[in-house]
Amino acid sequence: MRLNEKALIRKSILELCNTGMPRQKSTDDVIRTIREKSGSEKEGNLWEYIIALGAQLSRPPFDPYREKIKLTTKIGRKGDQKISLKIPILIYGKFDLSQSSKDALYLALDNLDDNRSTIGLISKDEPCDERKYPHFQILDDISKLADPDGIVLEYTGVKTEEKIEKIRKEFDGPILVEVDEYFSYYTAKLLELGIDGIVVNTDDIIKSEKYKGKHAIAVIHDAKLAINEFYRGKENDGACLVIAGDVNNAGKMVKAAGLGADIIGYDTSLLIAKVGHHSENFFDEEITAKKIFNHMIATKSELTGIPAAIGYSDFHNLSPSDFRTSSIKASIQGNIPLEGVDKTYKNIVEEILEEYVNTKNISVNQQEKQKIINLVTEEGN
Amino acid sequence: MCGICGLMMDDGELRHSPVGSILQDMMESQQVRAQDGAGIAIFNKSSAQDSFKIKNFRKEGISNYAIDEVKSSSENVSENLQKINQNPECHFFSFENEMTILKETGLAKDLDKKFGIRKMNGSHGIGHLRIATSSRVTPYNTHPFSTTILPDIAIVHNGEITNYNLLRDSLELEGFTFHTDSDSEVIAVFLASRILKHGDIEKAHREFVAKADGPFTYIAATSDSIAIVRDKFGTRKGIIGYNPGTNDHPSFWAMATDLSALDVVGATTKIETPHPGKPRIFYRN
Amino acid sequence: MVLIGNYSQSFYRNTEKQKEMPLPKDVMNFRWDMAKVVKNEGHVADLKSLLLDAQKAADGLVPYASLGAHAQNDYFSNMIINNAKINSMQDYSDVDASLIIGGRYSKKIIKTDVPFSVGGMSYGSIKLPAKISMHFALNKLAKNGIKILMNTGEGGALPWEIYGTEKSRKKLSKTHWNSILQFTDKLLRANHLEGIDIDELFTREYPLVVQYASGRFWKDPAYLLNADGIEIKIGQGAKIGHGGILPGSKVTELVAENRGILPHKPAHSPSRHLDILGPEDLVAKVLELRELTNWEIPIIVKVGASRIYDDMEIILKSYADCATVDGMVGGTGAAPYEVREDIGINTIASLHPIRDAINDYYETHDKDGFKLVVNGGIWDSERIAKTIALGADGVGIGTGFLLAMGCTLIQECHTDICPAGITGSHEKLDVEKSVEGIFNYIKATKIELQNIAGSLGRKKTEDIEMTDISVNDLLTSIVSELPFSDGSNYVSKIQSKIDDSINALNLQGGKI
Repeated sequence: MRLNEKALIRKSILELCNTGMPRQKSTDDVIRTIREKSGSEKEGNLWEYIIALGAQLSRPPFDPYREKIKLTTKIGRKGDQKISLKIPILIYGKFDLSQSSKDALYLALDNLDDNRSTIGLISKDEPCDERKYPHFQILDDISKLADPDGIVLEYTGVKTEEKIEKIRKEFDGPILVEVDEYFSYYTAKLLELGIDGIVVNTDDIIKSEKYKGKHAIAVIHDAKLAINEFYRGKENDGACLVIAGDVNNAGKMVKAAGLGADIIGYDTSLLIAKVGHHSENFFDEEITAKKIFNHMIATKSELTGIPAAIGYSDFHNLSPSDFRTSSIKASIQGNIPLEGVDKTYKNIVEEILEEYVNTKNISVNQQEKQKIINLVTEEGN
Repeated sequence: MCGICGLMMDDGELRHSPVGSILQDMMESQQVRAQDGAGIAIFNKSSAQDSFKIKNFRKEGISNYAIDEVKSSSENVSENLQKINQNPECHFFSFENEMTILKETGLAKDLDKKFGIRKMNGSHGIGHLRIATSSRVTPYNTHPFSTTILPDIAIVHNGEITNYNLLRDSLELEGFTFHTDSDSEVIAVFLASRILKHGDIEKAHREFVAKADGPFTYIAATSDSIAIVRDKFGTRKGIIGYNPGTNDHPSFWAMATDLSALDVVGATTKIETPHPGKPRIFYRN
Repeated sequence: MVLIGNYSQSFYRNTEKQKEMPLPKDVMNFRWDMAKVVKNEGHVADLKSLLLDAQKAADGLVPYASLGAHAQNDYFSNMIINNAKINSMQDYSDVDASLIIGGRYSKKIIKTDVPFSVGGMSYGSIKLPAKISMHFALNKLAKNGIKILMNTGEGGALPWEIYGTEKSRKKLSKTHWNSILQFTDKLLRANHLEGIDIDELFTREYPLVVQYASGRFWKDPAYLLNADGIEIKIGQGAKIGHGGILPGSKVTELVAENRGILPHKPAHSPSRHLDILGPEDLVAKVLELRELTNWEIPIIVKVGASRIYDDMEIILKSYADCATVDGMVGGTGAAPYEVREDIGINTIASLHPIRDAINDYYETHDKDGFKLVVNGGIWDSERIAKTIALGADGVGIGTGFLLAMGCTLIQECHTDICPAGITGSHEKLDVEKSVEGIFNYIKATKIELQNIAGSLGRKKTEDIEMTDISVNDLLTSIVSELPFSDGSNYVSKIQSKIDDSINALNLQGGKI
């Protein structure tokens, strides 16, 4: 039940309990009236309309207490220089941290590695010498290279391709490129040049003109498509898709993984580090580090529990076929089947169009059919 | 969900081993579990070297299916396979050189009546009985499954490959073709794609166990091997036994889901449960 | 009916008390700080997320949640029963609202006077006073001509539920009966309910279905043998694929004793029955229970709604008499937050594939009395009618009964702070008032249901059908296959969009 409808429902039921007699209006009547008054609600965050199909009889669930659920993720395509994460998370964020907050974060990351829960960090800063966790340095100039485990380059046009060629000669570790909204055009080229994956910040990209009015799921869907197109006819050697932005809780992470994400760029831990700095009277590095550590351990448990309940022993086996949606928009943007019907909205439109043109003897060719479908689904978007 | 079985004769040279008869006994003993379909794959070296058979089901009427056979030599076999891959009306089910696959909806007894399984000889073979759970009851959804990638690959499967869609999408992207909606088919396609890449069947099985998710036990046969493989948690049963043979009949290794199937054919020595996640392979001698 | 003696209105300590306090102050403070930082930095704050983040940062554990998911789209309110009234001047009290479960393979049947039942809410997740209120209310209803079914939930049953009939006590030895009475006394005392009359308590006039869940939380075999029906719980809507949880703080000594487990430790049921891994295993389990109960009582299989077509196919082939399907918004006493929110499909959405599965099965089999009970987000007569129209034979209600006892829907059942005293022990539940509330709730709902059926011209509530319902929303029409009130449906609506597109694109040969 929705938060704003709880009071209505309660009132309606209590009427029955107090009087023992039929009411004048049912709860659905009341809910409908309220919704009509407040206008048709725009669908909020589309993540909330996507659900996963759980395992019960037709496939058994795994039991995370007794059966090990794999979260390990490798970054890197060729060679021995792969980075291994125990949880598919790279800390990546837009919060600027003070030095003491950063120290708390580094301490937490070391502790996570000690506890076989290694996650990585993407940062502009130079990597710490004694660190136990993998550090991706955000570079724009090869001269600033400072012994990181991996590199993140920001895409700035053709120049980026030159930079990649230069860096590849001097650096063996994984190279990721943070892309802009035009990634569909150049991802294949970058992968050919030998990068190991792309970083897609959905919060930034949905602000662009190309993805205006769309949701993160449309971006993730298109990003995965771009990588898949590169692999057509080839054997998949593990280019990874890092999704950052609107993926800041375990539920969204699982759904993003279902849509194709391999790794999540996560910044809530940065938020916690920052809060740690502001909230205490005197900043305690150890307490803040403990908070970040706890948070990641809890997230790790959630990330093992949900795939197990869907029937997978490996987080990376989540696929689009495991998800359904209760929103037409989400179905269009993420190509997700509607719940109960098990077809995407686009499929339904295609089927109706096919039958319609046949019964009404309308002559349209394949291209025109595609245009019609696009127009109809755009309207529902 | 179903009963699977397989056997490998000790002496692969013996062309007259009663493989069909033993398989039929094993299947009939497990009939009570599953009645929607039955199928076998039997391997016999004496089949002609340079001749390939491609078999398809073709719908005839409302619910009948006829079998079409396309004979090819090594010269035109690729061309014929291409045609079949590109024809969605064709329900491909077997690509054979030394192997013969026979399968049909209904009981094991009916399969024997129709095709004379008990009279078939060879070096090794596998068999399967089906209860339909997710795909329709049709002959092309019955096991064993084969693939157009390489000849003489057959698999039978008990359980579910839960990440089937992911594996299938990835293999289709690489360029391999699927012909049914059954998750079991992905085992055949995956193994064939790996053999094509590196030729090591044991490695291919290990790669599949690492990649596949869900509860499963499968038995896979190639022209010179047969393997029983359980998922890494061992959620589904699987068992192996040996019949040391007598003067009347030769010795063989047998494998199945249930001990009762091994009992019925006297394969009651050296009983062993294959380790979860570790393929147990027998090679033809 | 003599219920309870005097108890003081002042602060009341229940000896069945929890050990920990929920929502530590520092978690709340931490969350406020996070909200401040997020706001100052100009980011968008999702307060619900921040609270979860703060909780995880505080203790490193998976955060729990309770009751039902905040499903964005429940479809129910987009459905209208054409021309039916829940309130009518006419007397429709002769409309048959009864439901029969069983008979497909079982010798006996369960017949109830209403097509809805009390969903499984176990002792442990809800406190003793709430369980006793429901027990007395259902007895009162049975005496007043309304027999309604109760489901024990997965935490075992209370002594008076198992031994509430004379037949069940017949073969009891004196020592056994004394120990039952002793335990009962402990339970009543701990909850300040000593005034309750034992004879009245040990009366059960309503049918009881016991849940056979993966945790197997009972010690007495009479739990299964004295039941009127057994429900094998494979899953529930709130936590599909995840086992049951009772947080350690709610496993009091008495709850532990009733379930046969250790107190103060969390009670986790495995996510699957250790002996049910696939369809053949379910068949074996159903047959085992039938053997045990001599094929007498109905066996029901409960699943949450997810891969529901395949699951229904398996249940239909498993020798069960009835299936219970729980939509994703079904409530729970405790579940991991993300599991509750993100797994499972909506109740209305699941009815479509269920109908398909049942129709496909009966294309090749004769009709044989298989029944379907549906739970999840249903709490009043209109929703019951809509669910019946879409194919259910009966409906299970959970949250509705909590509301009848005073639930305020703060959804903190997994902690101790329930303001109504239903799932927590810091407040005291008014048992008499709750009994009255439940009695009225069920009585009035029955009348409303009869009014709906009667005003549609039906003699039985089971005859409410899909043609009586229309929708006002495109997605609801697609998911439920119901038409709009003007007779159009999603196909014609999309066809007219296609027409508009063809015109807009000025396509050759296409001007409609």
